[in-house]
Amino acid sequence: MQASEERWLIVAFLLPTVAFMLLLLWYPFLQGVWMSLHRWPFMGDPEWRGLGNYTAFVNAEYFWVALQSTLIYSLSTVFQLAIALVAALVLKQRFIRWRTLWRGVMLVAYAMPPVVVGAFWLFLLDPGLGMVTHYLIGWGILEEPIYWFSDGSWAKWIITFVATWTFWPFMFLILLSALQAIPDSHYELAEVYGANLWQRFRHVTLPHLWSALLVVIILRLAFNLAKIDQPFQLTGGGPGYETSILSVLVYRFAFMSGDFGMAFTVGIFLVVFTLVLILPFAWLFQRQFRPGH
Amino acid sequence: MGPVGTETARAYSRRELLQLTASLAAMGITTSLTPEAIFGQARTDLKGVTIDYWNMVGVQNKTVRRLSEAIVTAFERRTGATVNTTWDSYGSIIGPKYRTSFKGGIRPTVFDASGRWTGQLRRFLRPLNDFMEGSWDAESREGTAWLIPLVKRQNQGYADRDQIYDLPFGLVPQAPVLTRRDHWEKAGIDWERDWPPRDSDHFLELLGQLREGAGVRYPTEVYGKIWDAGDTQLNGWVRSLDIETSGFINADWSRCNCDSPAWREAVQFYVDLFRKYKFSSPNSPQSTDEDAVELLIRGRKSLIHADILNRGTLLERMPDELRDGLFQWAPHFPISGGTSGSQTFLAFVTFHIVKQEGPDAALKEAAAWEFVKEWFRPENMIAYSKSAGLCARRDLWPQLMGSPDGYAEAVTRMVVNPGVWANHPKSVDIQYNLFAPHLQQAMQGAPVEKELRNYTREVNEALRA
Amino acid sequence: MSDRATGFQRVLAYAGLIALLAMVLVPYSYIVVTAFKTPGEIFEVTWIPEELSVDAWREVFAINEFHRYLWNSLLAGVGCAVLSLLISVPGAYVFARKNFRGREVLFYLIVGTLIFPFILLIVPITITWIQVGLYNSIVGLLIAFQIFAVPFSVWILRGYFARMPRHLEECAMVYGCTQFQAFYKVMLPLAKPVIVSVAFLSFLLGWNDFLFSNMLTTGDGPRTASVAIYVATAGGERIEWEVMMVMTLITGIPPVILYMIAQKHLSRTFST
Repeated sequence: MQASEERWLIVAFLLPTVAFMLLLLWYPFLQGVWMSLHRWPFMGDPEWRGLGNYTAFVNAEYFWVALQSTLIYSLSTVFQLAIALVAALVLKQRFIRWRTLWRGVMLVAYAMPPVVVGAFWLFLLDPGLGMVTHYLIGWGILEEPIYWFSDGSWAKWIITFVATWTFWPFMFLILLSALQAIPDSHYELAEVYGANLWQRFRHVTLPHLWSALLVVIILRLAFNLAKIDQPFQLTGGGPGYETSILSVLVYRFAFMSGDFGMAFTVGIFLVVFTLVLILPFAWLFQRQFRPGH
Repeated sequence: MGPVGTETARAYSRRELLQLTASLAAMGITTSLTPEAIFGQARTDLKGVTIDYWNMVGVQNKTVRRLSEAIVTAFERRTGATVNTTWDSYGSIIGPKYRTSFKGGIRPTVFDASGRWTGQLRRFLRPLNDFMEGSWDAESREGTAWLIPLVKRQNQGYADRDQIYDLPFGLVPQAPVLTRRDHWEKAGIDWERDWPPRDSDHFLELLGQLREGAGVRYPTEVYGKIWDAGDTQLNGWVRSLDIETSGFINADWSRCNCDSPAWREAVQFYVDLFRKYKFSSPNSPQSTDEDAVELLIRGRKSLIHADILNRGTLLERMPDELRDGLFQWAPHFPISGGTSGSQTFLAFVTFHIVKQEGPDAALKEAAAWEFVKEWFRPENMIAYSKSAGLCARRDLWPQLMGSPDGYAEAVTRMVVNPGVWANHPKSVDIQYNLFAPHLQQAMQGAPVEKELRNYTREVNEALRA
Repeated sequence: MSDRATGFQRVLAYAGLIALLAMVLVPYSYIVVTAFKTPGEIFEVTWIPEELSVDAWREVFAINEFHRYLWNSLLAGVGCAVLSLLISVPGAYVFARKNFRGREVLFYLIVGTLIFPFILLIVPITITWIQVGLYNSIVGLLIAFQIFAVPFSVWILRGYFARMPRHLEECAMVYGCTQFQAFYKVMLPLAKPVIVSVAFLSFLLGWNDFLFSNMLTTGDGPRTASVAIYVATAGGERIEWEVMMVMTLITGIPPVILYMIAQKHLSRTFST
């Protein structure tokens, strides 16, 4: 009796989630894997290519450039984490006045549409007209403007920087939440034992923060690598292919070339790339839930 | 309360309409939305007919957007039809939006776009020949007749190239020269003798004098950003060397032209302006003409190429200087001199009517045509010219002449024998997506010939696929 | 760390706060300043406009009718949150607290979709939406948002449910609850913090989305503020900066206020 009721509940509760997952995500995705084995124009008939798209992509002149810039772009997650962690640690302090207000203020970058934030940084960083160059030269830090967007070695870092500025608050609000949940008594105890600032962070804060840290790293790695609109708007993938991160290539193939076979091919590289970066963290996260931990 | 309709078919009050016309009038613009149209008895020929209009031209600036609203309203008042306007942007036709919704079955009745981007949508469009021949006033038809061969040439790869699917109403010749005279005075250059630049050597000489004499470090700019790399001044320079191979693809759309000697020479000159002569700023691989105009306004550029859409910026920012003739336009010059200043490419702003289905299909298409005609009325054509570019009707050009910056004189001299970009279904891919990275790499020091060769190979592959 | 914080700690914390505020507020204040500038002054690097202009503000409301788009954004954000809860909460609950065959595999099949490059789903979804009549409707938009809202919601919710005390349901059933009542009357109220948190995070996704909102709507449909900003300011060749800044400012405020309200729940969600 009990058992059958439970079974019904399991089925009924799983249904929406699983139906959603199959229809909206796995079905089109698997279809995409199939498409990646074809030349698949937007309007017109597909043509079987086997692994032709994959070899074409690996042999393309921009393949390694794209991987390298994707890797740099994914470092944005690290920068976001660093800022978010500092911000969370600071805004957890009770003695800070108007904490609630400051916490809200931290969120503003994330509360604006990323396309707008991208355009705004384009405006601020413009080498000829923007505020940043104006001050860097005015204060004597630079003699010459830096051509952030047109110098290949800078452009990768600039899109990474803008992504960091835009998306760190997401990490901040989760990390701060985790910090706030640590009972004061833990710190008091640590103080009784004479722990210094670092020791308290290492032995009290970090263990409590661990799972939240893994959550934000995994989520942001996935979200950051899927970002298209903002990096594309900042540099259009250039100069050359210097900022053609995988997701931008996906966009270019899918929507500008209308070649869905290639777009999904690059998309699958992106999935594998993301998976490789995420797996270690996912493994650490999973380990916490083992019995006895 | 459900989702509120965003921006369609607002029921304007008469007061709002007067405000709209007043705000346009303040900029010296009048449209067919006249007091008679506002207060007069609306005619009802098309009462009950609703057409969907996707507007893209309004994204050019606030004035064009207001102008669009005025023309839409005037049409509604005049005919009793209802127009549902959707404001859209270039990204929608360059990107996935239009073609996906067209394919899925969401289509407007009428839309504006640019003639070189609509090949991908051609199968959904209705030819306009019968309307143009049978139901158009003679002035409009004759005023635009000169464009029809160009539209056909733009579509020459199609079997039905004689059918007109794209009707140009605005023209953007790419790209006139724009300068500020005070720099010439400062540099001691004889304006009467040396304006406008005649060929590439003369251009270099002028830039050198401007750099020395006017103290402008980077007096001009070549544009590398994905949207400006392949459609501003470069193409005209190719055309001035060899008309035959000046398009991205050849006459029957079977292969790419860009490994031709003319392309190599023109791209080399383009790159040299930046890398060798350093007349263009280090920002060149990602620069745009909009940025260059801003720098020109601030006196940090002297002599640039900018399409006439930028005149709106000058009007807004420097009305007095514009009136005093500080800014001067001239035709794009041929790279090695010779013939004329007309070896340019002409971009169109075009109207399109989508094939309709169902019992009221003919009525809707006819209503859409009436709407298109509204835009070709003389007052609207001139209003458009004042705010965004050159109007299609040549018979109205004399009325545009005589402004102190000479913009109309300059651009009308550029359309004597202009090139047009192929309206191939893959034109966005060919002209922007594939082209920009190669030009940018050349601007970063890669050999021009190699980049053009690789680009040509990619385009040929895309054409074969 | 408490009120007995040392002077050194205070100095450190305030220094950190000032650096952070500078990082966020310097660019942000510049957005505010720009929103009040005349077009002629946009590119002047000045912090006090020579001539204070509210033209852009008038433009935004009178001409662009931005309030309508904001309303659509609100519906998109709230709807995205509600729908993602409806889909995710039951599933996450079962994944966390019931044993059945294939549980882990199913769970990872859902959470794994986090890494799908979801722009590739845009075209198939748009075409399907048109076919089934979801195109240009708020419901269609909300369902599409679930592509990125559900996987992470399920994940966070399951983590929270899993940490709740072991025998809650059994106790409830001892008092006569059915399985469903145990979930509905006992577990759900206790899970309020995580529900509020997930709702807030999903709200942000719906509020800020551009790609789907732009693709799936047209004309009189539920077009959101981010679409309006793009079309009105940056969709052409020239950006109307002052208009864009006004719209940006306004769009940024509601999430910040909601965050201040949701804060205490967030803090209970992400504790280990």
